[in-house]
Amino acid sequence: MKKLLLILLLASSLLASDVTTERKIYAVIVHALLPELQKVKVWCSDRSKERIFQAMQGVVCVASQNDADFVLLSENTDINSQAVKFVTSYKLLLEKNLDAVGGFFWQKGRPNILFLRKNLQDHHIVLPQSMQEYIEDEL
Amino acid sequence: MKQYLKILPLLGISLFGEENLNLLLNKYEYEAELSKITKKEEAGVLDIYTSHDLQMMQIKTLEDLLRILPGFHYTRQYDNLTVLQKPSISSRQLSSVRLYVNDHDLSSNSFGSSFLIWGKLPLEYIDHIEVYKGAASVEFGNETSTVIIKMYTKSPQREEGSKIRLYGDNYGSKNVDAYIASKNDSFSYFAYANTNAIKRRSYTNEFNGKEYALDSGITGNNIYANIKYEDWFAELGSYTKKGDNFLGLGIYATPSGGDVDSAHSYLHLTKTFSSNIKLQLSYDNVHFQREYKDENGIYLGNGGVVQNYNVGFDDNLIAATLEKKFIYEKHMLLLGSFVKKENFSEDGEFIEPISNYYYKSSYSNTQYFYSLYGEYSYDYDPNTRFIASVKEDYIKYRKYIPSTQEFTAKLGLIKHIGRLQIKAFLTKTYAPLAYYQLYTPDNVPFYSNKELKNMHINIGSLVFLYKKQYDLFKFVVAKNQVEDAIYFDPVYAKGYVNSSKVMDYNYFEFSYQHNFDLKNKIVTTFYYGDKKTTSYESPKFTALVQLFSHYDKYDFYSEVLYNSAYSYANIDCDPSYDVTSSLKYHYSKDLSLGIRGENIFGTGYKQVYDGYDSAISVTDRKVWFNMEYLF
Repeated sequence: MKKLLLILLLASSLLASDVTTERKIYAVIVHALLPELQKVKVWCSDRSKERIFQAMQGVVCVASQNDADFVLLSENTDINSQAVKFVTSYKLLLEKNLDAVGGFFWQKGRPNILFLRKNLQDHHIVLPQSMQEYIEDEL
Repeated sequence: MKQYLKILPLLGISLFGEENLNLLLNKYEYEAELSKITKKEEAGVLDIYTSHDLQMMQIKTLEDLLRILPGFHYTRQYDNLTVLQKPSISSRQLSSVRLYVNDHDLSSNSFGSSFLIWGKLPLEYIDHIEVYKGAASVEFGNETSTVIIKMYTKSPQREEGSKIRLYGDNYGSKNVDAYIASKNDSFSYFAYANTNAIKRRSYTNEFNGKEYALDSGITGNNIYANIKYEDWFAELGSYTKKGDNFLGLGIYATPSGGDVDSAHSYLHLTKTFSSNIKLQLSYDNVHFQREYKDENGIYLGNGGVVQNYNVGFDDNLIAATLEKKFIYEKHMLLLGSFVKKENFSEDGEFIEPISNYYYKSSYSNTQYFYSLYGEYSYDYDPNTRFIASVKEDYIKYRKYIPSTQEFTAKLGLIKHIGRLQIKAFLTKTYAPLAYYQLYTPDNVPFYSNKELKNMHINIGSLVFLYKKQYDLFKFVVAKNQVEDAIYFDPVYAKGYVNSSKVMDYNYFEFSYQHNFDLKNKIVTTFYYGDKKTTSYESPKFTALVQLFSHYDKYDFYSEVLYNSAYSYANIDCDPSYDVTSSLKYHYSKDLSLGIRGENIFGTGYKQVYDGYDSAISVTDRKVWFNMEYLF
């Protein structure tokens, strides 16, 4: 029960704190994809993206993709990690080899969040009901 | 218990954030608006029209925005060309208002105003617009101006994908816009094309028992493309427009033909170096042909009276700008230089068939423009910034016209006191001469007006901004003093001359904005301009109320534009109310359908034309139907 309260407090403080909206969005995404982890290890292919996660509670940035639970890809690179992969552009979401579960990117003049059903299933991820609208069967 | 522990964090996120992901996305979109990156608070009194504003308003062309631009009245000249009036002052081409697409200056010195060609520019490729008033253009390089309209194109990084927009109106106007945007790691491109045929209400004028049609439709084609590769950015723009010339230039406003045919193409190349150095190179080619036919005569200054009046301007110019920015803790110093070579020519052909009069005249010249400028800002503390900028221009002509040297300076202060922001600017600048002023078309044979001097302007402006969580109050007071003002003397000089009087102009603006939330707001703006004489050729007072509203899949926008009464050329104009409303239905994220009613009650602003017996509405009473699809 203490654990439960701890996690609830963590989520609430995270979302109430004075962090950027982009960070809040990623916080929601990371914790929805990896709900069972108290400390999510994040690796970014673009090091400048680490600023998004650095002050995020329940998240720690790691230096190696092999140590990561969540990989944020901004380019198509060889990736061997079994971590959950998330991308920052629509084109990367189309790359089969990346096998990304979703992406957060600008397209058609608006910010988009998109998850791929098949890749979510491959990682046995079930998103909460209120995030179902962001799931697409195919691109 | 373990199962509960797995679910409960989900519950926590659901409680605190995930159900708000849509709200967070909206907030992110709002916070990430490009205008927040491009705006320059130091540059003057600033009005911003964000991409969200432009979309909700269902803005089609630049004139939709000029209509409601605080500080001006939008109207059209006798020959259907777009023109701005300062409150209480008659319509004239303001060379001191300059128009930019990104960093490219669209103004041509030949005619003094970029609106002649670009005033009806379709805006679908524009992301957002910034309007700086009381500015000296040191911040933007190029030639001086007191008002700068900066239009920023849509970014491939944001727009990746394609769009098509179709709209038409109850008069039978048609417009098609299309663009495509793509990007990868180091390369991006954006390409846009537009074609339109805009119809306007036709009026008639009766003279000697014969009726003459006063038409003012236009057709236009606009192309814009940019390519970004690493630190290189190349742009291509081209706009061609052909329009009826409305009342024309005839003595009795009885046009029997002719049109205004214009084209402006440009290339602009920008290279950004890592050491805060920016180099820009550009090339422009401008053609502007005005043909008027009036069987009852067109007054041609010292050329007498003719029936056919055909004048063409051609410009081509190359320009380069080099800037370096030094940033050190609280100090910022920008040093820049601007050089331009502009070839310009005018060809005139005037015919009077009855007396078999035929006259042809032409001239050509070249202007060389050299400029050095600098801007320094110092953050005395986190709430206080001092700004100083200077610019020295040297203008030389290939022949006839004497060289001139002009100095521009601006001092500014931006101070934050709690929720209050105060901006104060003192500007000393000038308006460069337009070539049509140096070589008046109405004075044949064309000769250079060597005596004419640049108009000099001193501006003092003070802005108070008070922000609360949902409210924004703005108060602007500005005083202009114009020396060497230029006016047209049809009797003695038969051309443009400088006034020996110093002209004073006072301007006041108050606006209040209340944001209900990110997508719902009301904006009220009041402005008053007084040229401090006994005759007023346009309304002194204007009030504008704008309502931006979003509900579910609907965007609703409404504006009411009130202009006070005025009297000109013995015609009294009552106060006017222009009500414009638009509704957009988002059928899906990618498809939207819209309807926009303009001047709904037919009571909008009317323009008096000397020689025509009643004032004519600037905006037609119209209904537009709009469809936009993203793919």
